[in-house]
Amino acid sequence: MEIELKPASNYERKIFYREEWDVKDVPDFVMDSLTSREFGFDHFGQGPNDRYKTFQDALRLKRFIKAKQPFASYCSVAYYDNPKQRKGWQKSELVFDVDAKDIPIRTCDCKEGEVCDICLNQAKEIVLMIRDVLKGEMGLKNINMVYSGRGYHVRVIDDNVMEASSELRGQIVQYVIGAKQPDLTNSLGFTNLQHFIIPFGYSKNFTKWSKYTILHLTKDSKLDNVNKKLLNDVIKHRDVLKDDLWGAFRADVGPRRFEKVMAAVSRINMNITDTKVSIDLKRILRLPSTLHSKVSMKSTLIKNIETFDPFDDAVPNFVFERK
Amino acid sequence: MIKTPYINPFSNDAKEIVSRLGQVDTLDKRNDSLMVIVNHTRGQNLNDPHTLPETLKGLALARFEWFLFRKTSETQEKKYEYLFNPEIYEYDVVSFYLLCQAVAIKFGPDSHEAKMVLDCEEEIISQRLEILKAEPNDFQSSFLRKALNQLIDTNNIYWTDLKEVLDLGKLDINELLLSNGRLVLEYEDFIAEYGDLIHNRDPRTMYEVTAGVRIKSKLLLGLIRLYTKQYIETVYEMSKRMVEPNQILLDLADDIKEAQQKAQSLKYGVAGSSNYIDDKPINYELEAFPPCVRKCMDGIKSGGRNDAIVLFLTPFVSYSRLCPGIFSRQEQNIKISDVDPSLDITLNEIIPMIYDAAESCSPPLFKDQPQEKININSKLGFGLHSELKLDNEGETHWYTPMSCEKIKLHMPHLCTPSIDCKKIGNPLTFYNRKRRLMKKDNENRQVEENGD
Ligand code: SF4
Ligand SMILES: [Zn+2]
Repeated sequence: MEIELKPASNYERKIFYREEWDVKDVPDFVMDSLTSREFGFDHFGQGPNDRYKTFQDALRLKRFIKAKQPFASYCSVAYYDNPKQRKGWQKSELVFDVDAKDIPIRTCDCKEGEVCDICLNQAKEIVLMIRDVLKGEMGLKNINMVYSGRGYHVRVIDDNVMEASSELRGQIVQYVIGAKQPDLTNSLGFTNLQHFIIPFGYSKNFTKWSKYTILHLTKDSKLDNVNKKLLNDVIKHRDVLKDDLWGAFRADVGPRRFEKVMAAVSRINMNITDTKVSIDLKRILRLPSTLHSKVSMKSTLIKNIETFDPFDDAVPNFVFERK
Repeated sequence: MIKTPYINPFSNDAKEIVSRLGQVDTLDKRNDSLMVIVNHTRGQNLNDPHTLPETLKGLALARFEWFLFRKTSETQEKKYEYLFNPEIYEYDVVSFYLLCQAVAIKFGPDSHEAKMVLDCEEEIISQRLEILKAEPNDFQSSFLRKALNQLIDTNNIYWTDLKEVLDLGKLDINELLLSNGRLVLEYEDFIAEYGDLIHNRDPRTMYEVTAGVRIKSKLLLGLIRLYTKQYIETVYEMSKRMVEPNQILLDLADDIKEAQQKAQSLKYGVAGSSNYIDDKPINYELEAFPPCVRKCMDGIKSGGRNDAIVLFLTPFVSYSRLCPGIFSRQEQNIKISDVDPSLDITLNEIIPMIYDAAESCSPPLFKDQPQEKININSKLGFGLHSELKLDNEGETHWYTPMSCEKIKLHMPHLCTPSIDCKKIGNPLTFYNRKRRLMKKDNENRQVEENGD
């Protein structure tokens, strides 16, 4: 079934909160720390300006949401001693925000601000890659994936990382999404060491993301310092990367131009997730289980990301009743 | 034979030395065996015997002076050659602690002086590690292993245990080899972890290129910096409860201050001049700023503080000072260091102007959103780091000022056009045009005045 991503009417919102929304669908990782979190609400679709809200228990949260039927609901990634004043910061989830509308290498025909199943699927591929790095190399636990309504949030609730500063989060993000060209200068006299020769560590990660980015470039992609001719050549020669033949790709493009391309690619990688969100210790993020009214989708905690399909699992009932 | 305290002042034997040699009353007494070591250091410049340290306190000051003046000339360097004679290790360790205590008691852990002591220690140890490179790789590797294992277990350490070291920003997480959160630091672990992946290449070389001595050194330097910082904090806390600080430490602190002032006047002695070519830095002409920028500089009182300061003001304030002609240049992809190589203007004028505006917002922007400092650095092209450093330049892009159209769309409250806004499409163009007009005006007025 073809689902149209259009705004929910006030009536539909009312129906959703009255009949469908259940406080039990709010993830445990929020409920377990409910009293330490700040909540924020957007009642009229003008941004979350009702902030500094707190709830003592599930019942009160339920009553509030059922009564107000908010346009959008958020809760802090931060835990506070005193969330009502955002004081006494204890720790924050480590989050990655991949919004399908902001992916710099979309291959679909979406206009600015739009999303479709193609770019949503790309967002899913991206969060899967993010999860793999967090789990594998970084060894982090309790990684939650949430469908946000127009993309995905990765929310890490692992005490080993929750006290990390903004600065360190910046480093982590750059590592996880391959946003920095590896520094391969060395004192051993290897002048021509390439990241793709090294099958482990950050170089491997950078190579993996760069492959993804290059394979998703289109002739309209914008790369710093890369002109149309070079972009077309990259697209022409990139197929060998499917077999990881980086040496051949570099030779085809030319070593100096390859260097230019990789510098630009690392900057694109940087924009694959919204880094602002990841380094902000006091962000509020959409509360899973609630409605994204602009697109009529449910923000949903994902049980099995491999099989998750937003058009099956995150569509509120009222959408099916639309004529 | 090089002893570990020479490289790591926090090793166990270093602590033993301090309790043995660190008696307060000996610190400013003439120390003959120290002087013997100094005088017998190979390559030591002995021309000014009175500048050579005779006491442990003198040695502490000498360490600091080396750091301040080492770059001024070749001979200066040879003046402190004894600092790189491994035999000095015992006195060196004691003087290191002295230095830390003096700045902790007099200036506190957040002072500029404390930061300089951290930098100084890092430089000295780096230099010593550099000299160590003359030794065979095996020796270096096992020496570092020994030095590190006084602080951590190099076979079993997780990156999450090193958060504070990473926070210092000297060692980046992407330089570490990680497997399930654990650092792969020693060769045997490297082979166990990645041996199967390496074909047709020498594994030892692969190890040295991607980890090896280089990363061990960096990690050691990072740990020493962290421990030094924590030590200074501890001493400071204790000193608050102390009745009478030791006079020797206070004297040393005064000497430090004096040396530092001397270094500063050497550095800023020559005043810079600016010229008026527009793809080079030019001084601000605040009267030529467009209404939107002025409004933003007064601080944002309602919502939208972040975007106004980070996305709008930061590019404008940086380009208008460093390269106002950016839009008429062929090559628009420039870095700040292309026009401000030392970052002096950036750090002393641009950042303060942005921070002032941020401070004037209500509530002050950094009060609840300190991470915006990082975002500002990132928009200036220096990556996602809280400290603005040349090393990180290029990780992000130096954002150009956004067009009036975009401003009207995203931050409508900022745009209150004046008549001069009619002919332009970007606040920076407004600025350039207005400056030209003002100059003309000025000349006309002068002609009029002189014409009479
Ligand atoms: S028209 Fe442009 S320059 Fe003038 S106030 Fe508006 S945004 Fe600023
Ligand atoms: Zn799309």
